[in-house]
Amino acid sequence: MVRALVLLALGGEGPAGPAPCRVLCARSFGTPLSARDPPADPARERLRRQEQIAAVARQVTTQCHLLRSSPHFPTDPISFQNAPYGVFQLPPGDPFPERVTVTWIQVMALALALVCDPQENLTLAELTLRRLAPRFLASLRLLDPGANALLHPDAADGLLERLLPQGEMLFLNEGFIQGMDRELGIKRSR
Amino acid sequence: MFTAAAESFLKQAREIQEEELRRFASRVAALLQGPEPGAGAADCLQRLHLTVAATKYPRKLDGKFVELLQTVLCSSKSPAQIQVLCAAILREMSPCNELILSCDKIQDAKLLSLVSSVLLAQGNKKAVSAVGQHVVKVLEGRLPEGLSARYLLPVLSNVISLSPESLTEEQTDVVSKKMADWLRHASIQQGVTQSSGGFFSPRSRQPGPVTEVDGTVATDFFTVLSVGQCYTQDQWLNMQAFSMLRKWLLCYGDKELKTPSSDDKSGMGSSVMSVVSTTSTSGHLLPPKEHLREKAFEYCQRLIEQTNRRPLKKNDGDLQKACLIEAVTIMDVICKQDSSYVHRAVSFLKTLHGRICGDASYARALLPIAQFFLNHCEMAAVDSDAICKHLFTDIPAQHFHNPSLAFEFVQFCKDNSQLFTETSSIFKQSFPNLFKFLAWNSPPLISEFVDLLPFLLDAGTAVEIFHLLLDLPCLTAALDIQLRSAALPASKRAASNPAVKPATYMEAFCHPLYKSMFQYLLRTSSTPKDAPERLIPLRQLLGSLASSPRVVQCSETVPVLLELFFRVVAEFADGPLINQLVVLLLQRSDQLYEIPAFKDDVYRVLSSQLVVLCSLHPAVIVEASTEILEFSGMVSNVQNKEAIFTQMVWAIGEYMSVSYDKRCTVEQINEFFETLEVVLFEITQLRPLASIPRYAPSTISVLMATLTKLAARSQDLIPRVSMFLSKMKTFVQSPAVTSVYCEADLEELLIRATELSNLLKMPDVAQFVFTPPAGVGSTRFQREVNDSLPFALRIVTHLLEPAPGCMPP
Repeated sequence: MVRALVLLALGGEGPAGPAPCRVLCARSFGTPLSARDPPADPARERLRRQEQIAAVARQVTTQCHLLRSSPHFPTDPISFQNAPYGVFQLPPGDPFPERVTVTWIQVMALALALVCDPQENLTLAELTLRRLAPRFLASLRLLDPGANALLHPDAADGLLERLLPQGEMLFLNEGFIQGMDRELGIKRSR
Repeated sequence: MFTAAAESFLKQAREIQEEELRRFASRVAALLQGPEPGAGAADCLQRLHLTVAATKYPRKLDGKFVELLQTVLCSSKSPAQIQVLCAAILREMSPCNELILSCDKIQDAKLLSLVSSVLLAQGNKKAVSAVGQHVVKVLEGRLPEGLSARYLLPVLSNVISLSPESLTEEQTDVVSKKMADWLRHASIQQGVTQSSGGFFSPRSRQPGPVTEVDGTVATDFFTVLSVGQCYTQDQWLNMQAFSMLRKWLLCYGDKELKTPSSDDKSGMGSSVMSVVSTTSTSGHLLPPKEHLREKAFEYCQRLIEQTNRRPLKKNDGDLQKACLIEAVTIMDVICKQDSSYVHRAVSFLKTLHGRICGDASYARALLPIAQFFLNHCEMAAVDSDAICKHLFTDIPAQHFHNPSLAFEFVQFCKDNSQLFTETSSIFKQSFPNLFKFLAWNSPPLISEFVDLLPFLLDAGTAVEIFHLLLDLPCLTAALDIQLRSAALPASKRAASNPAVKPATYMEAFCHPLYKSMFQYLLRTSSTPKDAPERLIPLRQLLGSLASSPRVVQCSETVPVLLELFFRVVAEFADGPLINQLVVLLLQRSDQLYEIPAFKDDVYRVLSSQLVVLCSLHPAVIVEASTEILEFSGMVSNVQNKEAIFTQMVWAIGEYMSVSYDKRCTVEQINEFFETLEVVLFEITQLRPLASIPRYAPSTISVLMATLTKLAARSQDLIPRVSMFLSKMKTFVQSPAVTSVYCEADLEELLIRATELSNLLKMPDVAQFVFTPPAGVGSTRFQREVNDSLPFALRIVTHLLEPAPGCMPP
């Protein structure tokens, strides 16, 4: 189960180190519910979720920057098959109540991350990320300088509804993917 | 990308004031209530969504407006985009107390999924449970036209991961039965293609059979690896059911194991059981959970067989790997829940292991297979050692640069560390291989290794791991070269001439002179007899890689692990091991990879741990006296390794005493005294013309104190040290010295020299003050290194120079 998805713009290199990252799109799919119910203070609960997303975004940014400084960093700007990919764990309580595994992929100055349950199939997670990333670029028109990615929650939703419905990672073969792309109106590049 | 325009847009959204937002919301409300909310309304809802999402703090939206959003969301007249946006805003505001939303009356599957996404985001058990109940009810009954279960299974999956107790036993039985059907009885004909058609093209094509990933016609039942142009609803459900199968089995699969009847079963011979379960494949005789287990097992078997086919599309090849891992993991779950499956699984997975163990692209799948054999080796009477041996020997060495595999491998080790330490030597023996993962992937793996290191350490591995930790950045550099070399064409690799000294590290990698060093550094398992000193030339050779970011990142993990290393070793180390570590610590301080920050950090850790080691086993000073004398007699160590030198000298002063070691002789004390005296003389002597290097005042102070302590234990030395201390006055007043040291430091030094020399005026008191009571060694651990001495000195100074008015008569 995916607990959350975060799409973020990595801060570029500034004079005083990298600029802060920006969350372009985030979606929480919920964390296992504890005994306390419902959340005592909704505003606090919401703040907590936002902080969790922000913490993941910062960690992913750090990992991306560390990888970018490595000599084996791929030089091809948009290759989804070889896009830098990573996995790390966040310990229980920091920032999620339970241990989670974060998997991420970097495409140019963007990163897409999935916050997964620790026992999740990471090969499937990687495959899901590699499928989501190009479709996010297309649906949110992230490469179009005039488009504002912040204003298309519905486009992101359409994508997630198919590829990650309710946070469920699907074993989708190419036949299923083609069908979904047809539904989404995404043209497939050869 | 995130442009400056987007940045300012985000800022605007954050800065919108409450009043402005209220006005905007009423405009949106008017649009939504209009005859046909269209693009204008969608545009406004997108902006509203950003305004709510852009800030961490809750946005105040009018209760009536929130109600309107819910009404529009649930209205069948609303356009889909508007519904999606309303749901997105409501989710973004959650948890939200004003929600009146309910899924009870919703008949449209897509809408039910959308509304559920809002309800599940509330973090409210009641709401989650209500969604679960409704979804199961819908699944139970005959689905109305258009209400495809395709949209409902992911909702159910999320419900059970948020709160598994949302469903009753009866409900889980119903769903289990359905899942078994979806898994096993999906159509093997393709769905009808909904071609957009044109005037001249036919509207739909005649469906053919689904195919395998290699394009051949499907040979057996439908699975996620069955390919078609278009899928039927039951094929969609098949795919979704498999996607949630493991979670479902984990949540509801083994409840009946606790019932008395299943206890009886487990008492039966497993061979009998396997006959029972294999003969009952026709199915419906079994209770739903067991029926599902059987169908799931068959599905996994078929899936694993399907991974043997060569895919036409690369992505399907990746999916095959993910499926294989999932199928093996599900088999493991099933075998844990019902041991009668173990025998069937074992022979099947043994064949699978044989098939993929040589295939690098399937390396990650070896982990769940090994896990299976570790979990069931007793039951299946198979030896998991061979599988683990292959795993630990080949995989890290060949795949250290694969970040996912590295992560999963280390997790695998962590999950089984207890088991490994108790039953298998392969794990501990393989630490040089395991550290390759860390050396290459240090940022994401350092915290994992903090958990793992204690399981690798014992008296047999401690020394080798100590060396390895100090050489970890070197290992990173060597791995880098190994990778680069592997990427070269074979002709270039073999070109190095043994007669010529290699000019670059790439040449050196294959050069006879360095080859064995590289081999030692890149070894796959522990070789405790091998001497790491021979790495010295290699460290120099790798010098040019020291600034490579990956090497630097790795070097930053070493101090953390080094500190942990000593903490763990302190729990089991005996005298001989401590002696060995102290000697190595002093030796290795000279042999470190040339990264200035790394060396500073390592010195810091080593110096603090040196004192701890000496306090654990004070006899080390006598037992390792040759090496300690050699180290502390070198003036260059004062300058290069000040921290270690100072702590070593302090430890000599503290522990070179009969009260710690009865074997300590006057001759030995004298020998140490003479060595340190020369050093102190060397660093405090005034050479009129030469510039004075600045030594830390604390080092000078510790040297003076140690000499005084030694003199107090061998009192013939007292005149020598007294004379020396009296010379300190000249030292601190010399213009050359005052130009290098600050006044406060010099004053402190002078005070300390005076105090010590006062103390020596009463030798018996001095001996008493400087001789710690027996047994003090064990309690010293936590104490500040030098804390007892100043106190004693103050008392003595007071005795010798009483304050005015307190003069004895």
